[in-house]
Amino acid sequence: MNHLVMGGRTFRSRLFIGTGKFSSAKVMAEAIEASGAELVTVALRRLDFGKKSENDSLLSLLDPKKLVIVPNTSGARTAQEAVRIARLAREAAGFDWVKLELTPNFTHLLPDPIETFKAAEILAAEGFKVLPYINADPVLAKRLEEVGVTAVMPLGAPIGTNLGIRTRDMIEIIIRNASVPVIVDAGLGLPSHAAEAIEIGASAVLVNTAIAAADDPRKMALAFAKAVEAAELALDSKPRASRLDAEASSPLDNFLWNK
Amino acid sequence: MKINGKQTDVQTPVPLAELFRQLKIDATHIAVELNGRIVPKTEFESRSLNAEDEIEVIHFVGGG
Repeated sequence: MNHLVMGGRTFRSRLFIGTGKFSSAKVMAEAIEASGAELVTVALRRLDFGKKSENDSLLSLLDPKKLVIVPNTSGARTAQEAVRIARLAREAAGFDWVKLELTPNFTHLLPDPIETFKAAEILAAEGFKVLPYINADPVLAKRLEEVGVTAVMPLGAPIGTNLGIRTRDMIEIIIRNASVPVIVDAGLGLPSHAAEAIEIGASAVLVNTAIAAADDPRKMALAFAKAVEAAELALDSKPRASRLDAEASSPLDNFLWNK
Repeated sequence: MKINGKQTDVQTPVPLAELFRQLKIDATHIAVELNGRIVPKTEFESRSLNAEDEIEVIHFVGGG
């Protein structure tokens, strides 16, 4: 199977994992390890001086030699806030990847296309490898390519909903026209959803809630990894097109149907 | 001094790195804004904070 090359890095796994919502950093690390994922997202927040939370050890459990660590800009509502977060992340740990996540409305958490575009333009010009989380909008995806994003991340469904790919047709149009990797992000609730994304030609998927919120995140991470791999194998095998008329798999002649 | 939005009693002036030592903060993977501007890590030792300063101390947490 072909490895994914993106932002100057080679990824053997097309499953990327978000590190939020895990019951502990240890459970998160085990799930990532089991999945073979080589890209993970993290968030930035104020340090809580009052308590020594387990999150303090988050980065110590993520090996930068094995993983590309991509800070997200969650919490940002404007391009200015997103740019601020990306710069802080770069200063904090030298990370030059950023997942743009600009969600002004906390009910649906859908991304603001205008602020996302503005932030992408600024950060790509500053040398960041920009991965914008966007609605499945083929025109926006192309405009983002033009300003130099490393990949585009159209959503399958709103964050954390586990609804699967509700934007399939638009994602297919994005993939057909893209000259950067297309990563389906958000809404993937089951391994079959991830397989579907790969089968329609997505370069990778990003999964968080479905893995982190499962009773056994390690097992679910493995299930997603297998589904993604199965879909890659299927694509490599060049599946035949579907058709409406049946075509017998067993011979129909030489016994009961003798003509 | 205001740290992460909270008024905090700190003896000033104090170098940023010294403040972290006092608060037992591991500064390896954190970023700091002093009055709205990022402080480069190379300046943690030299940058001195005053009573009227506002700092934001940011670190990494789990996120999707």
